[in-house]
Amino acid sequence: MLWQPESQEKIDWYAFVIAFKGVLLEGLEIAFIVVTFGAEANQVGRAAVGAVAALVVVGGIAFLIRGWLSRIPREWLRFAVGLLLATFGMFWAAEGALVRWPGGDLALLGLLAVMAATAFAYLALLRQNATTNRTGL
Amino acid sequence: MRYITAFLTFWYHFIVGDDWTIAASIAVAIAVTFWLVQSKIQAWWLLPAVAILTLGVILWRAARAE
Repeated sequence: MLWQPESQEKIDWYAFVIAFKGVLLEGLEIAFIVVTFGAEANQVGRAAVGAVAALVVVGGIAFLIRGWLSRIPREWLRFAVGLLLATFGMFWAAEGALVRWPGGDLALLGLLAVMAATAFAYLALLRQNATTNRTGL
Repeated sequence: MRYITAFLTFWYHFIVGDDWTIAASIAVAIAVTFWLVQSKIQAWWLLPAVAILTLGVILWRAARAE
């Protein structure tokens, strides 16, 4: 089912606080990442400039395609964001443990593919389980 | 005191999240990965394997609870 935009006449404060908390948390994560990468390369200034440029580009693209984005089902957005966060999180956590990934940074793509395949496999199993429970077969 | 509790709760939810067993599994996996790397053993596969297994277990638990 597609999400239907609600009336914008009044602010939903509950939704506002949830969205604010989400943006704050993600912003904090980005700050951690930028400072970590910048400090490691001794280039905090350049890392900050890169982060601001990324913010402008991503924000601009999101603004341009906001109509299309608002039609994507929320569950699929969560699914995609979860996949990306899990992939990047695992990649960096392993690097933090001094792992050398086969293929270097390109391993991110392989990791994303593995996580996507796993997620879709679990999704299929859950659907099958739900169907079995419903029909009693 | 209320503010301190709220502050600590925020960080608990930020770092640990809804299920502490997932956070614990990943923390142990990172520690074992580090230990394997220090022992000159390839360990890049360990974290994805633990994540996939942990995800399967929590989904199975959630599906059974319903």
